[in-house]
Amino acid sequence: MLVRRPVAHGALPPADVPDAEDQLRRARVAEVELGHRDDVLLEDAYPEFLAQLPDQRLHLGLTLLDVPAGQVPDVRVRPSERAAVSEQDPVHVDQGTHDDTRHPPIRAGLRSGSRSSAAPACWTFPSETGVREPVPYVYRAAVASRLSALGYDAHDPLRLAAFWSSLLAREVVEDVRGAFLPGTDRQVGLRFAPGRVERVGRDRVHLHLTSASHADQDRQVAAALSLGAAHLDVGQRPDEGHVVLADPEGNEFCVIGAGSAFLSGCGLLGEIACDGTREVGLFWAEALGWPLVWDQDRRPRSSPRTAVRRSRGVARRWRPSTAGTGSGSS
Amino acid sequence: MAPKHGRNRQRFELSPVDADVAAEVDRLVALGATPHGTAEDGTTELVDPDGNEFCLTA
Repeated sequence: MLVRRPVAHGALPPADVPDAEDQLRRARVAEVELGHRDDVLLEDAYPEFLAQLPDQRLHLGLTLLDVPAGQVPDVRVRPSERAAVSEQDPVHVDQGTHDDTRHPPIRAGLRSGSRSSAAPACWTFPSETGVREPVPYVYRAAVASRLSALGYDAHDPLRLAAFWSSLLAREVVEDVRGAFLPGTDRQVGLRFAPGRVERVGRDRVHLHLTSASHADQDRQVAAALSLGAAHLDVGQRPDEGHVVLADPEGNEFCVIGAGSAFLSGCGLLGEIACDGTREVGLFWAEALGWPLVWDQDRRPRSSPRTAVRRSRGVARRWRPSTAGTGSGSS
Repeated sequence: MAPKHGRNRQRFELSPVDADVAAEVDRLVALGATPHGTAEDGTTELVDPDGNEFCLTA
């Protein structure tokens, strides 16, 4: 079968497995590269990538095994013949620095290391996610659904679509189901369909727009207000750095202040924020094949959240149940 | 979590990748979704573990 992109996220077994080669055999990779059939050897496909690895005493080939859709691909990892694996060498996972403008992206690579006696059992996410620390949780699943759009019930789909079209600088496509703002591989589409559901209480789902600077945030807020948005008080504090607005039909959205490392590189429509449980975050990680990039239980923070993110582009984040009370309202 | 007051006004729209809708429904249900009927336009609806509606279209 064809396997899908990208080579990105995987897990090494616990560091207490003493034998390095055994660790490698048991390593797993979740998402695999686009456009290659099984049995593609990483070493053959990406010599330049491997050449960039800082420690070249060991090159590793990844052999991708055939897996049915929806199953977790197993990856057989083997050392090349050019170097031997030493039991004293802990196995490291290192993010790739491959230039994906010329080749399909590789987000992570495996290399041997000799500096530390403690092998990390996690990937380091690429810097473009804005998460630079190792995330001690590794997501694994094959992609079987993609998020094609966020659909809105609208009393006036065309007017609402026009609002978002102006704000996001996207075209509107009318179809039998209403109005559609097509997305890209980095930006989710928005669909507006006729619906009579009245807004009662806070929405569980809202959009986060990003901004490049304080002035840009001000400009976006002013543009939204001029197009028919209104300020919304959901209990946010002035020092939270984001502006909460409602679109012409009352749908909440926020314009996030500049400098959000988490949303770095996500584009103008940076995030779909959702009230929900950690469990539903894990569900959507599996459903969409988006890696978990922030796990409230394994990486405690003052504002615990669970987040998944497409390998490139828009993120989704789940807030804990307490967020619905008004704190952490971004 | 914000309480639900009827049907959510915002819903995720999914498309299966290299799978038919029925197979993907089975996978999503195994992950924790619940089937939620079929819309007038033939769209398959499900709810996620928090009860949020979403749909799956070929």
